Amino acid sequence: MSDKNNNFNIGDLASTASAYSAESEERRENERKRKLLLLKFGAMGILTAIIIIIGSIAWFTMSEEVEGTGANMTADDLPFEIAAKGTEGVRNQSFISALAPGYQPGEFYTYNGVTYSVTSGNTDSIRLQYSSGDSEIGPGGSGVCDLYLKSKIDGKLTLKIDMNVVSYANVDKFDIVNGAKVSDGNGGYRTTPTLTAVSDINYIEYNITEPELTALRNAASYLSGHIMFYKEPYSGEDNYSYIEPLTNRMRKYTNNNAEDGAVYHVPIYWMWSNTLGQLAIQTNVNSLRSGKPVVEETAVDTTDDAVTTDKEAVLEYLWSNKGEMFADATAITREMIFDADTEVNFRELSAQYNAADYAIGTNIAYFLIELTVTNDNTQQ
Amino acid sequence: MKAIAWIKRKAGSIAHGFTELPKERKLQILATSAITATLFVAIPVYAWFSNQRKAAEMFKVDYPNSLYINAAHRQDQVQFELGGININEYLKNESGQFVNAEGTVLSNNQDPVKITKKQYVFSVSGSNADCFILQMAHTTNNMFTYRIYEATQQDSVPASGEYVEYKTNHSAYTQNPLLVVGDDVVNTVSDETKYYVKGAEVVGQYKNAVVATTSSTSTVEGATTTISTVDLAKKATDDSKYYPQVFGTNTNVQERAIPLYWQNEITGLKDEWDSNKRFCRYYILEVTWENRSGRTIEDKETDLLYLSVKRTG
Repeated sequence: MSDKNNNFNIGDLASTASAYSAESEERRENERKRKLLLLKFGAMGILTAIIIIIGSIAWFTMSEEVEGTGANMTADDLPFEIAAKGTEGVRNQSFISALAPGYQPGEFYTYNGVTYSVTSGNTDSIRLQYSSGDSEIGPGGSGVCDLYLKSKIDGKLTLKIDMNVVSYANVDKFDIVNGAKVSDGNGGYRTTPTLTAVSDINYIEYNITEPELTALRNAASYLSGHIMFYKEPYSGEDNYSYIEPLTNRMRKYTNNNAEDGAVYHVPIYWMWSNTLGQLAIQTNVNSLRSGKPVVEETAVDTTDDAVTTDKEAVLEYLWSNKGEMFADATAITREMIFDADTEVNFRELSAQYNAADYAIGTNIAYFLIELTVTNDNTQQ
Repeated sequence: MKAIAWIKRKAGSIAHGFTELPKERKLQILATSAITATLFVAIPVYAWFSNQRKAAEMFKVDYPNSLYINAAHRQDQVQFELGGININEYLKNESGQFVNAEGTVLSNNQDPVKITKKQYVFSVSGSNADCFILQMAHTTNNMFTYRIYEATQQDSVPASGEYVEYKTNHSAYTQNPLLVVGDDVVNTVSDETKYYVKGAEVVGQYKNAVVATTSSTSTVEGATTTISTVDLAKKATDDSKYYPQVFGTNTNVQERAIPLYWQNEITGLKDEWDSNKRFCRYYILEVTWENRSGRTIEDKETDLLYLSVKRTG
């Protein structure tokens, strides 16, 4: 209500009507104007309400199955579920239980004699199992997320898998007893080192300074940039590790002949490259690279805009994510990245890449690779 | 027409009725309608959120690639003290009696045994490092020969072999936080004694030294042995005054203050990595002295010695 409105009770009107007739004339004029305005808004509001009601009713009748548990409403119409295979083990199980409790063990499902743990409408996030690979990862580390898809339809399945990296660090958390901080006897407060997601750290609950928090957030973004995802490993005779980098952190999955109840393996490969040379070197003409290249080394043609080779995709990724790849990206230009074979550029890029690796190693304690699978309607 | 007018009237009276209400009620009605509208919108949106499935895997982050050089047992670098070397010292045991090399107390008619070397322990440790260059640089004011030997650490007095005893300082573990499987007990409460058994020599090369072969008299048996020593830095030509490898064309240099650079690349560490890709190696720096022609050994001089490591892979 704006202050310009003259709000007055019914009683006032009666007493002022006789003494101030000119003003009441004005007031009636205002009232009429206001009524008109309210009428307009009222009509619009009623129309909007009708549209919303019709829209939600339409959605209600569209879904195949709607179950309500208390206040929850879920529409169980996904054509797939995702699964983890078997019971080999969940990596760092106690940590994933403590830090990411939303991820639960799935329900058991057997197909072709193999047991899987599967998501459902009630358990939509599960932990992946592993059968090989390290649980402790440093620069140079790599792995594969063993994701399985269980189809619930016969026919075409088009899905989208998004990848995300969540970092966790050890931060001093204030001890809270009876809702208040506990003094440590030295003028400060008692704290306990606690593993927390970097995005959850704040100044109220944690004893952290601004430069420290900035360093943690930078380290988390470096880790998110340094861990790169790939479609498949290369197993030929040439010297490189992967084919097709997933530079959008997204992979599409299409199966034209899916069967209801069948389980399909969609592994997601990832690697934290050890050196910049493995990523940015195009032809290694100056022998600067140490380590195995991540994708096939080819000379990149920058004259056209199209990204035609894996190496070009990696270089574009380095450029568009330079804040996440390099510790101090202010002096790094696109020309440097696309000309990393020259020693001067290589040394600078490599130094910044290594500095980012060091920041990760000294700040981040654990990380979670999250895969989100959704139905990809754009392909249908 | 009439219907429209009727609608207008009713809407008008609703609006009028609305304006007539006291402020509180207006607010309540507005708030309730807003919440209801939000709910209508929210329920479909929430349903969309559960239209996805998620899976996750948790990993621990390894310690970054690192390489450290420290005093013995990865202690702070300040603990690595060369101190003073008295070349006229004689071997004595803890109670001050003259002993021989085996530790037996000498009798009165036996000559005391001169100390011929001093040994210092340092450690090189790191994570995710496969090879590194160990570099030593020293000046040549004293007639010392520096050699580096590999060493293995033990917690109790070794049964055999030449060893160096080292007393840790319990508060000197602040620089290097690495712990290696099998060597991960760090006592920050009380001092401990570690023993380092001398192993094979680390053979490197001097990059800018003139290698001289001199004969020196070994003091223990009285025999004469021929050893190669390095004494001076290389000049451009024999009588030139330039030391191009170190000082370029500068000439105001004191020839014994020019450091001699020695280095050796140490590889194959990958086989020694523990489960966390870490390693820790111990080395003994041995300083020996001998007579060199044209110089007297009585001068009191100071030398600077630098040890550094650089990761190469």
